[in-house]
Amino acid sequence: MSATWHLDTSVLESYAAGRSTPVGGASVEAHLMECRECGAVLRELMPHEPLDQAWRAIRAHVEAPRAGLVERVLASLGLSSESARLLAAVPAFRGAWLLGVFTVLVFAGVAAALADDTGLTLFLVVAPLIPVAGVAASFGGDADPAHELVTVTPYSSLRLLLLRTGGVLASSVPVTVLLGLVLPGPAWLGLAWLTPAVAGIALTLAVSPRFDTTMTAAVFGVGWSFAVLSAYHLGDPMAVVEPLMQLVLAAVALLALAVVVLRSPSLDLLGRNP
Amino acid sequence: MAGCDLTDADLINAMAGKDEGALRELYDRHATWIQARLARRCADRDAVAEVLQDTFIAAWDGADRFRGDGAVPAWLWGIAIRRLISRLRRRHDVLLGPALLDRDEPELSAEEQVLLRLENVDVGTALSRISPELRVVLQLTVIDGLNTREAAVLLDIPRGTVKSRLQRARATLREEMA
Repeated sequence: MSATWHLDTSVLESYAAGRSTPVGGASVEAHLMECRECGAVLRELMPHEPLDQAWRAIRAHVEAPRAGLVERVLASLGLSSESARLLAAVPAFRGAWLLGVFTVLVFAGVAAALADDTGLTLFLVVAPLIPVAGVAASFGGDADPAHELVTVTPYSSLRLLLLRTGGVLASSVPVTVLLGLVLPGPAWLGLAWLTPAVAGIALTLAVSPRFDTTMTAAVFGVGWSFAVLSAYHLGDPMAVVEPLMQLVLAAVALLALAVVVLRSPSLDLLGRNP
Repeated sequence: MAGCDLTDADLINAMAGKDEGALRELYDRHATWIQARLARRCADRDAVAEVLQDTFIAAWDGADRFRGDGAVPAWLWGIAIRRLISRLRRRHDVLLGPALLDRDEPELSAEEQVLLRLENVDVGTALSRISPELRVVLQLTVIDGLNTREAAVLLDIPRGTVKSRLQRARATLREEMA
């Protein structure tokens, strides 16, 4: 490790000052890689401040909390670390929420597989409401651990809102789509519930500065359940996702989204209503 | 602080186990010469400081991927020089001031002349006679340890050119020293 000979201090001095010749400098460098003693002499010849400063930065990195799994995956997908952290804090990404979503879906799936019409009704009630509930929880304040953080973040509210809504959808839609596809009904059922879900989310977001998101989502949930159940009693639960109904729901969704975008300045009030 | 009789490889192993003391010891041993060496290749102090800290952060994060068969100083320098290059990639003005290209003073101190004398042949004089284009290629490959592809990117010339210049530089050196 240590060499048997050492550099003359004057050589090290001129090297530290950047005055050594090209080849002289190169051999000093080769020696310094191997010799700890000469490294120690060099340290005394160089200003300490930059080294100390760099060390502080290194230690800050080493001691910083490691990003969670979700956060690292998001960051590797190209999100900035700030966005990734905000998104990872969305309640829909926490274990309990995911477990809840999963359980509800499994129950709905089992029910659907057991009895044709009743199960289908159950699925149609539950599937669109999951993402709506997720969005409501993400902006409701009560359930959001990052509520204060989001409230004070100098960040475009519209962007944040879309980001977090996207996160909620990503966490609940794939499972639900899969479930819909394995259900006994027609294949398009797996996607048919998406329109009411989008309509519900858009409505929740559109009225949110005025009304509490949890409340809006609950009202939408009751309305939607009522619609599906009455369709069931009238004989055909699929009526709520028939083409005409899809169009109506899509129109509602578009309208509500337009309201969201137009009112984006007032979105800064999101989650801050009493 | 970790014990002083630990080898560098021991320190890296300890760092893979998230031992901060080992990182501190490694930093104390190697940060100075890395900083000095970077500073000789780049006049921008902020860039040097940034590259220095990035190097040790990368060493910390990558400690578990270090293979025990290489020398630690060479490993650290390998990280540092590549960081410096990617940091300066878009700034050819700063970049092309490597030590061998700029300094051409022939006067050597007595100590340096001793250092440079290799089998009674004065490498320094031989080197100072070859053209700067050949010298910078030698510097990047032989001294800084880059491969020909990296040197090509850095100098913004084709890889084949780097290889042929390297050959020419070797041939010239051999002639000069014969």
